[in-house]
Amino acid sequence: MNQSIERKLAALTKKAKENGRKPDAKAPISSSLHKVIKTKEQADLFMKLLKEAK
Amino acid sequence: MAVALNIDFDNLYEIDNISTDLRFSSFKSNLNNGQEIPLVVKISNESHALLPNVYNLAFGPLNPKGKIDDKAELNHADYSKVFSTILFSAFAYLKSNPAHYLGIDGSDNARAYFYYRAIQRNFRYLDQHFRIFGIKYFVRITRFGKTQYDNPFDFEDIMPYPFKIEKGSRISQDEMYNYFIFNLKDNPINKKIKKTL
Repeated sequence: MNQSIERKLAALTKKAKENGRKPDAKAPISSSLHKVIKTKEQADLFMKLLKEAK
Repeated sequence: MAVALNIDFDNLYEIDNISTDLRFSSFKSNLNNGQEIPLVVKISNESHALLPNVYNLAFGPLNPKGKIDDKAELNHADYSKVFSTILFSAFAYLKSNPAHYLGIDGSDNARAYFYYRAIQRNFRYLDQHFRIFGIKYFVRITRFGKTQYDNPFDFEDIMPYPFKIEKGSRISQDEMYNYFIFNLKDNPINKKIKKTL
């Protein structure tokens, strides 16, 4: 990663920590992926495939 | 959206509002008609019980109810700068949460195809920072019915399958991914998996 991007990341993270607004109240997630996955077996298989994909 | 995007983290709009947990950020985009519009990038703040490390990323202008309108059609003066800023916000979040994955819904086929083309066009740049996957949803065939009117598909049994997006891989708009997921390329989890393989 080049230094310019590192500096921008550091500046944004600092801005968030020092002057950031309070995080929003928690809200349920509503993506299509999260709607499709309904069982632990499905979720475990999906995460396994995702982690192992080369 | 026939726009050629060039993602560049050195070409960003100023992020004028951000939350302490980096899940919310906003910036102003210039439109072609000379107006300026605030755009919001929001990462979901509650994890799915079964997918604890996958969070949804949404972006767009806010509607009158204060929700992101991800179907809004805007004519940005600089699409490259808009999408670079959105991705940079996501990058900053992932740097602080390296075990997380972020996902983007293609709200329709055209938009999903636009994202895919943008990924391909910027693959070399994005590949320095992220692992990117396209997710397709497959529906189980139970058994073929006796008549052509019997429905052989079990729409309650859908398997999402991730495909790692590689440079030059081709996919038609009709077969486009349903969802896109990315995480940091250089993160401790990836290194642990490599060691065990």
